[in-house]
Amino acid sequence: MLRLRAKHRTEMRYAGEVRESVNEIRLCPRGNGRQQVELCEIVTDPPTEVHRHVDAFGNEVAWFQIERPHTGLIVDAHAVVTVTPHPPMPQKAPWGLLLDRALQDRMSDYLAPSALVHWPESVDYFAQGLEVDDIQDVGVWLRAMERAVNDSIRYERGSTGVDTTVERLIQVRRGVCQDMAHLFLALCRRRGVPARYVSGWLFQPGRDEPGESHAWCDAWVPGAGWVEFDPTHPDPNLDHYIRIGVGRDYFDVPPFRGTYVGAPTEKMSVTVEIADIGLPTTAG
Amino acid sequence: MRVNTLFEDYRVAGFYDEMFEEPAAPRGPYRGLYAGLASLRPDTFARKSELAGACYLNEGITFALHGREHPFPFDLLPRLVSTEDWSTLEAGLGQRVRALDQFLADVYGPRKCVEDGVIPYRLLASCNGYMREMVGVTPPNGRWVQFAGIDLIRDDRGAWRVLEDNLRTPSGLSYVVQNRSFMRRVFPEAFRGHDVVSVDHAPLMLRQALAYAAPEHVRDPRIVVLTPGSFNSAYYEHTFLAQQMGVPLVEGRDLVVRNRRVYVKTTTGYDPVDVIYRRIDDWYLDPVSLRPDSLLGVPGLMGAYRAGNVGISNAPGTGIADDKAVYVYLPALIRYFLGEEPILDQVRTHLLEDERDREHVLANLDSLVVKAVDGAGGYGILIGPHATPEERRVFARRIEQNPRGYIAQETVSLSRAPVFLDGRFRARHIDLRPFITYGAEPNVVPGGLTRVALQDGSLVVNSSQGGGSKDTWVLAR
Repeated sequence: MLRLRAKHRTEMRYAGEVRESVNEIRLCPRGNGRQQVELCEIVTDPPTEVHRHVDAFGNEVAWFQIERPHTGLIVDAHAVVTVTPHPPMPQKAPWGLLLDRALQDRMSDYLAPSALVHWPESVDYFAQGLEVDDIQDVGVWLRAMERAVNDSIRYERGSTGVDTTVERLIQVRRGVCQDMAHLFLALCRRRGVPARYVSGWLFQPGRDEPGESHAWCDAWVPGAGWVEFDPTHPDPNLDHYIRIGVGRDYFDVPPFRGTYVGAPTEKMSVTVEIADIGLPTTAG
Repeated sequence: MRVNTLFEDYRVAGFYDEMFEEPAAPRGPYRGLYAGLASLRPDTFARKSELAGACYLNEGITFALHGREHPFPFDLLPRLVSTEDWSTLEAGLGQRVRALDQFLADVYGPRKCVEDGVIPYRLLASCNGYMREMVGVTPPNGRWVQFAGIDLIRDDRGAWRVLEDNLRTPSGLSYVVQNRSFMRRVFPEAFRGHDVVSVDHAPLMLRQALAYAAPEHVRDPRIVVLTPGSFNSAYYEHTFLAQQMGVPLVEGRDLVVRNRRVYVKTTTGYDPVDVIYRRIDDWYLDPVSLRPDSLLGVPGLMGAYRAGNVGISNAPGTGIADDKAVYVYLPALIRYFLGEEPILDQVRTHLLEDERDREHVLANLDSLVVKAVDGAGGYGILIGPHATPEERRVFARRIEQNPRGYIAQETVSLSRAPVFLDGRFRARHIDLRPFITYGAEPNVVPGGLTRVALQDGSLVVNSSQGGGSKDTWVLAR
């Protein structure tokens, strides 16, 4: 169990004056079985009132508007979360359990193709080439897939964009965490395993950059429920993963969306600093 | 020679004819009209028809077809609806709109209808009109629908049936008002001896219903009509309704969100807006929260809407009711939400996702009508009995690739009515789009848009497919 403090900063610098800035951001961690959110604050500079709501996927969304002229914008998300280990994978998870009609109906969002996740023939060929399709257990199959995606795609920053589809990815075979997540989702949904996109932050103790934005996946394992998989770092140490939001693919959980009127954006930078701050001592 | 001679070779047999029980024997509501026509010379009727066409051209009432503006073909012989029929339709349409409104509130709220197994979530989640951005949002007064256009047809026995529901941006109300006004101008003597219910107040009915979309505390709501602009095929209607309701016609760039309130920019400053009667598609309303590439919308509109500071009518997300696969569930939804039996029948419809249903449909394509679930304007339709084997093969392939994208319906022999074409009356298929406003209670605009398939034998009445229209008279007694 770890107690982590994250400071996420988005900084925009414009080439001149801008105004009428309206933004929707998804930068607050949400609670779930293995993550308790103690605190999450969103602060902007120039300061403004931030309005929050929960979206259809249960994610925390913050909305704010800055009408007056400004030349830069800083959005800080400050969160404290406690992460606990994931429940273990069940001994057995046969494929047949995924055929339950009530489960399939409830999971429709995560079984159907979505804007960035679909599986045309080229994905079929790719999947058949992995030679893991005959594994009899869903949990084992998922771990094998997680590894197979990692083996097939070379991690390369800047090789893809936010709107790169799975089809394109398996042509170029290079991408970032988001692309690997999308491919993993396509492979799961193709076999009828409900799977969703997870956006969040990764704690990297001992590294120069103590944290980074990251994307991974939840897949539904019969008997266990949602289990996390990370094709970028197979068999992940989930103590280091802070979950922000889930969706059908990246488009459901973009960290930052907005429009404004005025000069072009000169520079945008995103940093996240994560520190292990230890569990609070309880008065006893 | 009198006008009635123009009916001499008019064929009644084979379909339900709106006007005639048999040749020269008009049905009850049409007797007065038929007798009146006897006092008119054929060339007078022809001249009046031309005059009516000129009215449309002069008013600039056109629609875009294949990239060109055309006047809306208007047939001078009105379509009559008896008092008894109308009271059934009023009750049935009102019932349907109440059920649709409750259904939408439930889908985007507690979703009990899914939990109770009335409709599968899978079906809703796969509707193009389903907006996840609306989940958990409660529109002002908890009301989703203020205005609906529900298409009706009559089958070979003359029984009325619902063909489809249009909630997103139903269009055609301006034609209802204008058809009547031109009719009075060009053919006033036709009204003699008839007690026709007026439709002049239709825009006022709409305005009163739109007030129900305003935030609860607002007494005298300020309404605007939001149009995509003059390139839209229904732009004429947007200008007409704004003018008739006495409210501003605006484009997205005329509106601005400040402190989660919506304002319209005017020459003197910013005027607050309480209700947006939007004639643009859901996804284009706000580039921040919806489609980022939208240039038609208002940045921040969804923020103001979620805060309850502005009404949008109909509410975003109502488009799921337009999905022809959802239509299949309407009778069950009426029973579920209202505890009432559906008053109006609909057309027997097959969903195609289940393999057995699909196989049955594919084996019987030559007798069925196949429609794209989100098709509008008469596009994406296969009329099996009229189609070539090649056309049926194309649709069979489309169905197999995307079974959720299509539904199949029994082919209904649409009723026919006399239409004046090339100096003669000829029987053509028609339908009816009545408009329902939902303020305190559902109200049906007494009349509606009777659409006419101008081509012989055609079952497609949409104006975008070269259809015309008739004035629709609801008789008060």
